[in-house]
Amino acid sequence: MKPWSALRAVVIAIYVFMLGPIVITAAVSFNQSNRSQFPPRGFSLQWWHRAFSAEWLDPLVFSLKLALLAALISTLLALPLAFALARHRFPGRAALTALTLGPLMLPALVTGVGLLQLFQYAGAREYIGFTALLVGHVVICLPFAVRTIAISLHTLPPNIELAAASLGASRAAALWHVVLPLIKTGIVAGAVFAFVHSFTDVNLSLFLVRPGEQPITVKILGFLEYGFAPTLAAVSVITLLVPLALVASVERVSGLGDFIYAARERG
Amino acid sequence: MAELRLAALEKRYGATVAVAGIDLAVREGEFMTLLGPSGCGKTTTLGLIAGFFAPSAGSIQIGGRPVAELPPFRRDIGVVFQDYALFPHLTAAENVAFGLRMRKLSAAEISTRVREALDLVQLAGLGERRPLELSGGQRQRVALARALVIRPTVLLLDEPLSNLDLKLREEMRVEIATLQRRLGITTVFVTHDQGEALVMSDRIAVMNAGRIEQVGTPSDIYERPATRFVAEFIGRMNFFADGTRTLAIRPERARLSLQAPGEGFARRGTVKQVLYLGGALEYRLELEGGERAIVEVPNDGDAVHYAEGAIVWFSAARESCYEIPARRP
Amino acid sequence: MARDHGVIGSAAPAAARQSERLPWLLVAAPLAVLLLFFALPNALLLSASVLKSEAQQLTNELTLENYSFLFTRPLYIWAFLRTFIVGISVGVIDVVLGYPLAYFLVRTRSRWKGLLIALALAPLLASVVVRTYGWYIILNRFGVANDLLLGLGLINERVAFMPSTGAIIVGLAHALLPYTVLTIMGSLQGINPNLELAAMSLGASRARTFFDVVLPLSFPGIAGGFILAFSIAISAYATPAILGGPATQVMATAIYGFMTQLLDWSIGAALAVILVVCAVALAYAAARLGARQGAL
Repeated sequence: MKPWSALRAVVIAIYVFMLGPIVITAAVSFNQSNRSQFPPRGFSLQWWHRAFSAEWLDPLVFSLKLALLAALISTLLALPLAFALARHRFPGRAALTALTLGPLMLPALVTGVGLLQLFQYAGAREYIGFTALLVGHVVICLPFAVRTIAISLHTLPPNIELAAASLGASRAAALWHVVLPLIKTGIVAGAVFAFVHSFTDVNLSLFLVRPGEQPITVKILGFLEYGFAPTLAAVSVITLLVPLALVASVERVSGLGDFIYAARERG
Repeated sequence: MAELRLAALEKRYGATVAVAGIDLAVREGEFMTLLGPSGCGKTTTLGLIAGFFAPSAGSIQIGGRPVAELPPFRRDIGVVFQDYALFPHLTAAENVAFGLRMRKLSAAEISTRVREALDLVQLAGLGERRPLELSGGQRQRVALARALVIRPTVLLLDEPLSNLDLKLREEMRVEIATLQRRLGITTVFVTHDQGEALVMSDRIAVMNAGRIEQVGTPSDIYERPATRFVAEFIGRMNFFADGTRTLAIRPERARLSLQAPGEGFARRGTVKQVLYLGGALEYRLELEGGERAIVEVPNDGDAVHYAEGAIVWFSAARESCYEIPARRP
Repeated sequence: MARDHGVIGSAAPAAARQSERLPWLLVAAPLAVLLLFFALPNALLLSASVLKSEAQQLTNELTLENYSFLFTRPLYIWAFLRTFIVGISVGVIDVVLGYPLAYFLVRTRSRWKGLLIALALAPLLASVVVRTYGWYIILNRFGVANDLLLGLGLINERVAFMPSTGAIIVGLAHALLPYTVLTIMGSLQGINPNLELAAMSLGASRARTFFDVVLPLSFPGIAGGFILAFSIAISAYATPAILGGPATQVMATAIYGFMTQLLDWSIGAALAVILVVCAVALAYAAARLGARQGAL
């Protein structure tokens, strides 16, 4: 068999492996009975009904709010930081870079534990919950935004700011009229990655929740202790569809392709 | 429109000296070319005039005003970059309008001037296109229009033609030179291409290793080169040592014959190679005494053709022999 | 032919200001956030790990007991071992599976290339909980795997695939595969396609070209992908929690136990510190290995 055909067959098998569990989860959520049968027997939307009940909708909305705020704040913080790291040379730049990428390099779990300890010792126990979660999420999302904005800055056409200056633009005007529009895609990509990272996080969130204030991922995890329930399957599919819809629509408008390598953790 | 004056201009990067003391006066409305090989400091000089970086020593005056302390956006210059540096997120018209917007002109005035500028560079109707949708030659014209529309005191061009293919380059040379003459803007043009320099300039400053070797009109530079470097850099040259003097003879001024010529400079030699250049024939000779020589003969149908191996006389009239002056103090 | 941008651009772009001072205005806010909410918590963990804990309260006594506790109890030694076995297995599996997929995605000329890449990376959009849940459905006693094997007559009674270390490995390998694919893709893209053409013009078959030219050149990507999968795997919590159990602890689940159930912060912190040291060591190894063409 020709090498390429063999490769294609292997690749198909790998795709089955990769997408299988997700497809199975989705299918199972339509099961008539309370079992994890595949292929599903019977068809029922009851579990999906339950997935939209308050019990599950509340944490979903919580996660959305959290992710939106975390993305916004981390992107705002990332802008000046990316500019400093990508365009200036100063003593301590390497250390600052390491600190910036730190939350990406170290396990989110550890950051979560550390933050829990911090809030407890600072006597700020009442902030555990949304506030602590927001803080933690901003910290772990910041590196993504800094990375994509830095990539954008590095791919600016070479003489563009000199050209603006020669045409009478002060440094501020050049930044506003020329640089910012050209790094727009990097900013958007950073915000999107930050959103997805926050929305899907569980390791950090685990330690900073309180009853009534937990992201949907933690809630799902908690429920898994009770074993299987098709409602969980439906909820899981919803939590995949939200980021998927976001990424698909942003890709259409702004394009994320240039930044895919920036999406990997610890890269 | 005013003159540009550089005095004792220097630029050092640590131990490296990029510009080693330049004195140059560019007259109002003049087209001055800085010509030299890469690394000679011509582009650095341009950058100093533009204000992209500060000089290590010396002064720059535009229109009698010292500008060395001023940032680029206050020097009233127009720059055309080698890679054009067009703003990719703006249309051609918006690119051209940029400098006018920075100068806070009214929308109506901007619109009129942009249209005029695009007409001037023959891009009328293409204003709504983005740089990505334009050819190399068209982008170059946008860059030109963008620099001209602001009516700068001094126009600076950094090898703007080097990224174009040959035919386009030759066309644009003439166009830019004509445009400049019409508008009368004081212009400094940087290039390593001597053909461009000769065609376009009012005067040429030949640079080498951070210094100016000679400033003069194209014919000055070509026919009366002040140093061996200038003689060799522009066109090709045959050099002959004659006692303490160096004689320089252009290949197109030399002649080949089977008989020894009556008077003038003459040497015997063998034709080693004949190159067909289309419009001319180039003969490469080895002369008695071991020197190499080049003769260029127009391919006009009347010329006698010599074959490789032929024994010929290389000669030049007295007036065609130029003596390179001894090293200047 | 490389385009010349002119020396002006490279001599002194306004872009890279050669200022020697820290641009305080730019970094003040983000720096404060990072120091306060990242550096400080980690420092607290480090200090807690060397303090003695009594009755679930941290004292001021310096001690190395916490670490010696961890290194002498079989339960935790097993947790370490299991964590590393899981990490290595996941790393190997993901490289073995990820390489063919990465190679295919980089070299394919199909017009569905973009879609295929998106499809390979889309699982990353689902939380790891969700992806692991899929395996829960498949591997549990009454799940898909058992049904399938029973139906095919390969087994007579239902097998408990989980909780087990094997299940954890499968679940994590599945969850982390896209990361490896991304890393290897990045490395393969940097290989000049003309090299393969040159090899073939010199007489090498497709297979030879691959093994003698492409594979060696993609080694940094393979190593990087392995290290990435390994380092995320050893700090994973959700998958071991779901597909494993009290008998199959890994470092992350042990930390969770200490912090939230046993409420022994000192030992939990010590575990966390060990995990951090491993992560840092791995990041260092990755940095040395890779020609990391990162913007940072």
